Amino acid sequence: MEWAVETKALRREFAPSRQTGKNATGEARGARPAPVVALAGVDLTIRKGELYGLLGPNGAGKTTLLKILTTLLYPTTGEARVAGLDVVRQAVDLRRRIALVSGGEYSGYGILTTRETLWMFGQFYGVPNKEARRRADELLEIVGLSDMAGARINRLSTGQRQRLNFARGFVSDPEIIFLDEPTLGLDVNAAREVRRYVRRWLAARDTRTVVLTTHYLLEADELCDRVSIIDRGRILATDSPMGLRGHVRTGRRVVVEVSQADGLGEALGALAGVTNLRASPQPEKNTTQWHFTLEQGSHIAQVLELLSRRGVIPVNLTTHDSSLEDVFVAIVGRALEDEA
Amino acid sequence: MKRLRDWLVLNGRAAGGRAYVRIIGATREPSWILSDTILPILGMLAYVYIYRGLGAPRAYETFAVLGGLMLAYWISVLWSMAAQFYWEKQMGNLEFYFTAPCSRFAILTGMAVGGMIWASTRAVVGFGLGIFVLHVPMDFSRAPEAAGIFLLTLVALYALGMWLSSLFLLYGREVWHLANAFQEPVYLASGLYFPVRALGPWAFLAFGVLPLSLGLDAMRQLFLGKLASGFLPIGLETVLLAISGVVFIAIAAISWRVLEERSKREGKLTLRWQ
Amino acid sequence: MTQAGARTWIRHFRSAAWLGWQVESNWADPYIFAVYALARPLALSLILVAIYSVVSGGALHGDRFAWIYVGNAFFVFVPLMLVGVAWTITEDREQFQILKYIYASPIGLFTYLAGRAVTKFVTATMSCIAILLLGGLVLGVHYHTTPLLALAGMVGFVFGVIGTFGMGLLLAGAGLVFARQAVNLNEGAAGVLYLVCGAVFPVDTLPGFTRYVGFLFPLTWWLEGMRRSWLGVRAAGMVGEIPDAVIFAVLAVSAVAWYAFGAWTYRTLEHRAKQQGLLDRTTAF
Repeated sequence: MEWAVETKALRREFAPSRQTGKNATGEARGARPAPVVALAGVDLTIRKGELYGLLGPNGAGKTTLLKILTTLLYPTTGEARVAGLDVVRQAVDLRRRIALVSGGEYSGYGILTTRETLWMFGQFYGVPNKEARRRADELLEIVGLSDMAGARINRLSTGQRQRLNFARGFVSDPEIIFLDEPTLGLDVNAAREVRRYVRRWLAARDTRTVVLTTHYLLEADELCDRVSIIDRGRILATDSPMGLRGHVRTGRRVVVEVSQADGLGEALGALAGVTNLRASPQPEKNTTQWHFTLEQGSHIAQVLELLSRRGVIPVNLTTHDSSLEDVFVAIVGRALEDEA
Repeated sequence: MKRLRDWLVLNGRAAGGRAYVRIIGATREPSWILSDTILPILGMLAYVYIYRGLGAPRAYETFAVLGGLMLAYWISVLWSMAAQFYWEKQMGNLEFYFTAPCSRFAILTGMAVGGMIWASTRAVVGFGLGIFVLHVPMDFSRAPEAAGIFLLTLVALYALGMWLSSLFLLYGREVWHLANAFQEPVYLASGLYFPVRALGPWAFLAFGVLPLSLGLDAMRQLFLGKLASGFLPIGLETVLLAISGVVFIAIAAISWRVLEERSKREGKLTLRWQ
Repeated sequence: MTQAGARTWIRHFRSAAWLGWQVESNWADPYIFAVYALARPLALSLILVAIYSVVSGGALHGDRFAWIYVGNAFFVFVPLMLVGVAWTITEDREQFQILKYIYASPIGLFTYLAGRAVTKFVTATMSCIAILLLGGLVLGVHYHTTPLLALAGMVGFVFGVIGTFGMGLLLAGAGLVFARQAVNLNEGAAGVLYLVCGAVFPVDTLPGFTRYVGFLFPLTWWLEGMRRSWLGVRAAGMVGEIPDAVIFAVLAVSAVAWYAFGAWTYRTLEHRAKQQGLLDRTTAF
């Protein structure tokens, strides 16, 4: 089977530069520190037609992996193939079939208009003039910049530049597109439009593949067919977002809101299967919210029985499955926003 | 055959796209007319007046004019082409070029074409000023040969620029500073404003590989005859120019392959502010 | 300015000076950096030596050669300081894209530019000294002064640097407002000064009214003042007929005037740049 992307024991080390000054204990630095391991042996396979996500905190190795897959960086050891082509030995042929979009601020050539910019990048991919212009106009419409088609880039806001950068990646109609944090810095509506477009683009042709890196859990959850959780250069788990939740017994989250709380906490805590209990007073409503986790969803019956026995009528009761964030914390051992 | 045609179309479009940026950019910032054409001519004028101030023969002023002409192209080669990928890296654009399927040489050619148009504007103004305003002596009877030497020199210079661009790719700021540092030494070694014979035979032999030295010396002889104090016969300089063009293109191709690979291995390709 | 304000200003200035040193030198070890700092000005001087040699048939002696040589030595402050100060704006805006952050900080662009200019001043001074040493030790330039001229020379040197910095501020302001072509504007400005200020030929060589343009710039008076204090030699032509005291007095007045004008122009153009949102504009092509 030809995978869209396949890596075997992919490893990448960076030799750090000699440090100057003094370290925390006041000793002079001088010796070259050990290499930084950005990828510590990554094995992954991505099917054609898949929308694949790489989820991890800053410094996890996501961008390094994407740079290798898009021929910008060589691996230290290991192999990687994209569209069946070796990223090192067949890079020239590979580049005709891929595109890369890096999120964050895009500088570009301030002197060109948005339409000219997209047309120009079309030229680098050999897109005929007329077709390049058509695609440019279409993409500007999609990212909401059609009224800025004649505006120079140096007049665009940061968000507009980022949307243009996103559009640039699609002008060549690649077989596989690598999106490195594509919604970074975009507002909610723009990010939603980007996600919607990615799904539509993928669905339009079954030979297309999208590889997305993100540290937005919602994005990975909402968008991806499969997600790999990566941290410190290693893939820790790979599955669909639903499947990942199943990997980890994180239970069911429950919130019970009651108008009186005398002794209720103690009683709830004593129930079997209730963990992570905490109270959240709501003085404006004169109520208390009790947050806890049930190891098994069926234990909700015990909670209801307890409330009934004590004559407590809940103002509100909600339950929901564990989120991807819960999965991430359970697998990685810390929250996404915590420092590595 | 189809593959060759596809390759030519792809790289032709890429070169055209990149040249477009430079050409259209120039027309949208009118300040370039003053800053890129008129003001640099003043440097050339300074050397004309140095010769006048020293009471030198009028033919020596032609050295200054021809030097100014070629300087425009040398500056274009060095800063608008060779150093360009360094600027692109600093601006964060480099990854776009290196993930695109077109050849790096196509991009460089596009930059070169755009740069040549700018340089030519500057060169024509300076040359015109020299002939029609300063009335520097020039014999145009061998102008076609001089034009041929000029074109050969340009090809060799731009081939040299392609090689230098690969150094900028890997070494970035170090090469930028060295290129900056060696601007005037290159002017000195190539005899930009004076007959290179003044440096003595050994200096010329050492620096004669520079296309600038060879081209200038040949053009001076064609425009000034014996007054040019030429160093080598024109025919020999022509052959050496042609060889240097071919050699620099070959060196550039090898250098690009080696240094691009090294950049990717060391992770410096897209590393900014190194 | 209060004492606390002065301390803050010094701290800001020192930070900018440190940054200037890092930016200029961090790409190489100090020895290579020294070579870099000296190679260009020395080569420029040797170009002049070659030109003079071609015209004189190889002879490098005499007052005329010394006059040209010393003028060129002090002219290095123009590309290194004047252009260098202006280049800081373009570099920080287009290349490092941090100009907006510098501007948003309390340091103030003016103090920042002054601090960044320190390294350029040091580099220019080193280059000038190296050229003068080469002239004296190798090329047979004979330096000669009197106590009064030496004193005037030292004071005049300071005024020259002030005037050069002032002109650099003017170009830096232009750099805020104009496109990236401001780089060429800076180089062109150096070319204009080289042409009209009697750096390497007497201003009388220029045609018509252009020979008087140089008198507007402190550089013309500075170069002549430095030559007189180092060589005791005067320019040929009308500048040579001006007494020493007048040369140094006009230098002082014009340097201060240009500094004030440069600072005012800078502030005005900075205001315009803020109005038009140009502080973070990139224009590279």
